[in-house]
Amino acid sequence: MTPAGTVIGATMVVNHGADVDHFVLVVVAEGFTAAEQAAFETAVDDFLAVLQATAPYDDPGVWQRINVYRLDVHSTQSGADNPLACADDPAGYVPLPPEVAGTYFDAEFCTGGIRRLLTLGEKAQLLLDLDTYVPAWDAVVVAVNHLEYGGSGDGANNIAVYSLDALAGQIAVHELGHALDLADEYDAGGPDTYAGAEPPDPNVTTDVTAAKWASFVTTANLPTWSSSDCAVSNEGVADPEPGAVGLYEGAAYSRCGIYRPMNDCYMRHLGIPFCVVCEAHIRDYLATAFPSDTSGCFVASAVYADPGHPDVEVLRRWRDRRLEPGARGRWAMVLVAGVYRRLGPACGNFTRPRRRLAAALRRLLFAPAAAMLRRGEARRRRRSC
Amino acid sequence: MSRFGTSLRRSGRDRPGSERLTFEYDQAGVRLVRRTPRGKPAPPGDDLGTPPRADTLWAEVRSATGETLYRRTLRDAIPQATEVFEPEGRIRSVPYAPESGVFSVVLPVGPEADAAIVTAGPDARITQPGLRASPDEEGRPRELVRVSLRRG
Repeated sequence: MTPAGTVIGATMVVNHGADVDHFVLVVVAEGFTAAEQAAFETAVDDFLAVLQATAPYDDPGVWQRINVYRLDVHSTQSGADNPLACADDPAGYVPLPPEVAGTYFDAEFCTGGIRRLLTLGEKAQLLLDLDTYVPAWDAVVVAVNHLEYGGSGDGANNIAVYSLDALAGQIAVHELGHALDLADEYDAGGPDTYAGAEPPDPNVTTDVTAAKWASFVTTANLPTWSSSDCAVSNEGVADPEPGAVGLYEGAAYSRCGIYRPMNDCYMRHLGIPFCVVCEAHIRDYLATAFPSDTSGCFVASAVYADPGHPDVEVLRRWRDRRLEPGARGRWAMVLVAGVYRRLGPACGNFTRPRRRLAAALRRLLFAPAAAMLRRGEARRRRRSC
Repeated sequence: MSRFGTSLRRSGRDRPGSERLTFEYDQAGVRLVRRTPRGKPAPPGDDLGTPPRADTLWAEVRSATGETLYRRTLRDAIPQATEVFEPEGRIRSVPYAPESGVFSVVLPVGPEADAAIVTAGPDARITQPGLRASPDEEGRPRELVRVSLRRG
């Protein structure tokens, strides 16, 4: 079948360095005509604003591990297929126009008789175009030019589809969580009681000791919330310990036998902040899988350009010792580390191209500090002998 | 952690490259459509010290001697359900099992990589015609597709 449109090309819109060192996200146009290119570019900006307003993506140290491309595709017609009648429509529902549109990836609402289920008929074409234009892609967000609320996720291909309803961009933020290995935390759609093995996902567990996220637990009350009726959803139940990290029963499509870390999370409800366990996992995943030498660490990336430099190592050890629970002056180091995390990437961007400045900082500030810390370490070793 | 994954703390430039393998499935089975070099490492693999879950599909890279070098659990490669999102933020999962489709997997292609294999665990739920386990296949892992990664 001849595609109803043309791929124009890919443009990098967020460039934090080489793709080899970064998680590569592609935002793809669907249902935008050539005359609507500016509208697509606005949609991309709007989505990135939603993503960057969501922790932990709001942290420059996390954001710097992500590159973003825009894949410009001009469809023959504007919009998506949105049938006049859909099996799950409430009485009197009037869908937004257009009803039919010839678009490049053949987006349609009402998949499987569900109005909000917006999917792509030409997914194979999308994968081919991605491999052609942005072969380093890790996850994809398809912006569908239609104002009806809808979207979908494709966990096998890390593809999120969302419409231009003001809230639908949240669907893509949730789906991006799956691309980073997070599980769903809602309790609808599976067996009442979970009967499978311990899931590999970092944010759901069958283990009532909460060992998977033990370092985050803030309550001795485990499980923190238990279901009294596995046939009834625990949607909207009041949190017995607001803000606590513990074990809340109901996750991964089941109401009993499986737990989530907090009462609510973006992986359970759209628009809710990620729980601390999910947030930490996103940070860890991006830091581990993409240990970029242009990461947010100002000293490692800009001053030394070598994360493994002995001076960087000794500074890192000093910081980690100070951050240990009970360490003297820990509160001050927490404060300093927070400020460093915020300002480090910007300082790095400023310093990186100025090699003389980097050399001066190294010679006059960081190398002497590292030498002093090294002497301190040697003294401690002698004392411990 | 997979063998390729043990060195994930190193810069991406030092790790083996990866390819995206794109497959299609229908009543006739699962077939490779395309291999695309990505110029960057594969995502972290599963822990090879832990056996794969019986109710999942997974992709493996094996050496010429049959050693598993990398494994990654596949999420919804042959989907049985999909998520539905509501404007007020509620999410639910509903049955959805298209009879044909396409999925891709990113695998490391170091010099030891010999074959890529997609396997369905013995308890993996696949309802699509042509892909369901036959009675004599039930209760054991099923190899859905095998691709040679050898060059030349």
